[in-house]
Amino acid sequence: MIPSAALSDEAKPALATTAEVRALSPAEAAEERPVHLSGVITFAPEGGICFVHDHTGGIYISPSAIHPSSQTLQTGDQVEIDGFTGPGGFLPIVTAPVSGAVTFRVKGRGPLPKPRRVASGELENPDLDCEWVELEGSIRFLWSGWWRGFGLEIGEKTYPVRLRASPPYDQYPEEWFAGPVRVSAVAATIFNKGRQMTSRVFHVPGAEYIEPLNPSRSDTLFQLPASDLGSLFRVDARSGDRPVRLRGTVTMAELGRGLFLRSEGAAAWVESAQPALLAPGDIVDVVGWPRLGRFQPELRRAIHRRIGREAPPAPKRVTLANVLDGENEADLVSLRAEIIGQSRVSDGWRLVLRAEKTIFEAEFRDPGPKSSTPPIVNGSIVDVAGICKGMPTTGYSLPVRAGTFALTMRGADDLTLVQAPPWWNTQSLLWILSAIGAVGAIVSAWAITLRRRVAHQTAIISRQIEQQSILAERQRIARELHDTLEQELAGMSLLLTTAQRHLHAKPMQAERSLEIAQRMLRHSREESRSSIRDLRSLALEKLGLVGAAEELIRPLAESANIPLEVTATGDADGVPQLHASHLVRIAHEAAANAVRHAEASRIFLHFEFQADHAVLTVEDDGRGFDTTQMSDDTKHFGLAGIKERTDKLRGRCLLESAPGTGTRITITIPFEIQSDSGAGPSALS
Amino acid sequence: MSKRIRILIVDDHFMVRTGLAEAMRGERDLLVVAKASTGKEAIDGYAEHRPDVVTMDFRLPDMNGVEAASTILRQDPSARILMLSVFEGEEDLVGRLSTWSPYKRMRVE
Repeated sequence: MIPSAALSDEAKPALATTAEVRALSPAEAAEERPVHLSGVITFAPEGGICFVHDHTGGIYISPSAIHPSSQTLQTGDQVEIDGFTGPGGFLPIVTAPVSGAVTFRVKGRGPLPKPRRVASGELENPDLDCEWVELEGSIRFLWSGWWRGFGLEIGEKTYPVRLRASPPYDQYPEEWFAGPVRVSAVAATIFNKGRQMTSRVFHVPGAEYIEPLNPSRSDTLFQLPASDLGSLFRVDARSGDRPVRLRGTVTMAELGRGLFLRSEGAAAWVESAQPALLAPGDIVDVVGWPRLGRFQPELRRAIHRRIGREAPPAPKRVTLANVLDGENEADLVSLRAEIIGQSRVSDGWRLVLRAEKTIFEAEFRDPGPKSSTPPIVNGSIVDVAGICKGMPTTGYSLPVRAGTFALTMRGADDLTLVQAPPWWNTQSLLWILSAIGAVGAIVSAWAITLRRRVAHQTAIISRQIEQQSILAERQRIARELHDTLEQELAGMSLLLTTAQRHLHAKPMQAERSLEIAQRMLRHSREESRSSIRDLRSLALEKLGLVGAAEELIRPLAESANIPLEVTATGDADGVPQLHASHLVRIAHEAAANAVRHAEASRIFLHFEFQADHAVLTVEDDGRGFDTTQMSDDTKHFGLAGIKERTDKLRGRCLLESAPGTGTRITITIPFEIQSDSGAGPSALS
Repeated sequence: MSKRIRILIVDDHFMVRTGLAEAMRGERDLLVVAKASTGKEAIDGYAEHRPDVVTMDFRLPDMNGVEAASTILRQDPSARILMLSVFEGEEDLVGRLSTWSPYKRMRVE
């Protein structure tokens, strides 16, 4: 099988008319079908554009495909064209493969086709693309860019019109601007990537295709009697439907757009596409059509003739109120203001200024280098001159007063310095503040460094102190364990060994030993709990000796519902730490004994602190007991514990009691520095 | 009954004293005649009871056991004293602190 594409290429003859090319779908056009056309050039190649017409319509020839030898082609040349179809972006086009070119054979000069007259409502029909059309309209303004042309007002709309081989501006005939013109042009299309038209543009192949409808109109117009601006749009005058002639002085001109005119004390914007190169001070005659302006009448579609020259007009000195009321619209004014901001825009400078509470902008053209510095520093008070244009207030309001305004300056010379900014303007203030800030930061940094070092040293010292006290505390705990737990375990161990030994032969003895061991264990557990509580509690440090003892004992007494009275004489501050903790434990032990065994109705605790010793008295009014029966340790572990502690501190323990008389325990503890010789593990090393 | 060995127990901790006393109580030939918790009590108790044997703790609150034993020995050179210790190393101190002879070491598990 032979591929169908190859077959169709062979089979189909070259497309012979623009209509056949235009009828292709984009996919078909992309197949690069051969084209052989015979027609007339309606827009000779220039700037990426070329159009050809035959009897069926127009077509676009891709300029990139045109051979360089064909660049001498003229509009109106009769040609035979060989090329290939391409999809184009909107309609199919005539182009060539990458390696090839579209060839033109000039057969002679022939008349252009009769242009198609198009009603204004049909100018935007997409299928008008590439057509040779005739338009009638008024030239509103001139385009100036990479191509020359103008805005042509047709009905309600203004279309861009490109003029091929434009003459210099000073050769643009006055009659083009004096009234409507008839233009022959190729209709072209601006489109998007979806092959949708977005706007219409027209290409005029030369100045000869622009024809004024009324060739001698301008002379007639300039013979109109002179009017004055102040009479326009008064109730006693007919205005707007006929042109008026004014004489005045140009304050500023914008090429191809219009000019600002000052005439007999009034000022106005005169819209005119006529490209006469006017300068401020030129005296001109102007003829145009009056139009309502925001604050005052304007002229539009005007033509002008220079009739003389005087000194450039001076700006009118005004106040902000004048400007906002619209009194000076379109006039050259001068105003005092403060510059608060300046920025470089594409072809000049834009200034932001403030007069009283109103912020306004002023612009001037300055084609200088983009990096140039602002003309005057911010904060300066200046006199700024320019053409005044009121800006509407925001929202809907009747246009009787401007919200703000803009000035169009003639140049940098329209800025006059009145007063340089005071030294303490925002920027200087920021500099000073940052300098102060920097100094402050250095001082703070130094202070912080110093503080850190002090803190570091303090931390080391306190760590050392902490380590020392931890060490001391550990030794104390070790000694406590050695003195109590170890001994208690040794005692219990002896008892358990005894019990084990006699278990079978002497069960009574064994049982007795076990019973004592059990009581020892209970006592030992209570002791351990108290020790742990002591270690955890900061009561001694917080409440002092008496407070700590009371805190420990009071819950005990309250749980048994026995009133407790704690008194003290003397100062407990002189009691050494070791003695204090033992005194608290002794007091606790004694009070606990009274609560548990004495059946007391009151318990008294009294501390007496002397310079070198302390006396603790614990008294109850309970049943008492026979102290002569005390020799057996096994009955009274509590009292034994008290005695042991007292012995350890080399104190005395006096027990006074008899059945029915209550019990009094008096403990006397001296504060002498305890000798450790032989009494603790530390002496063993 | 008079053949029983009379003993004075000296120890600063009541539980150890109790333990020792109970252990001896179970023996027919032993009689605990007194218990002391300080060196002074030990010396006084020895003078009072004239026990056959003293079991002496090394650690006492007012003096060490060697001092207490030495005092007793000065008063009664025939006194028989067992130095008891539950701590490794304490027996070395006995040798260092006393000039006793004969002096015998025993280890009891």
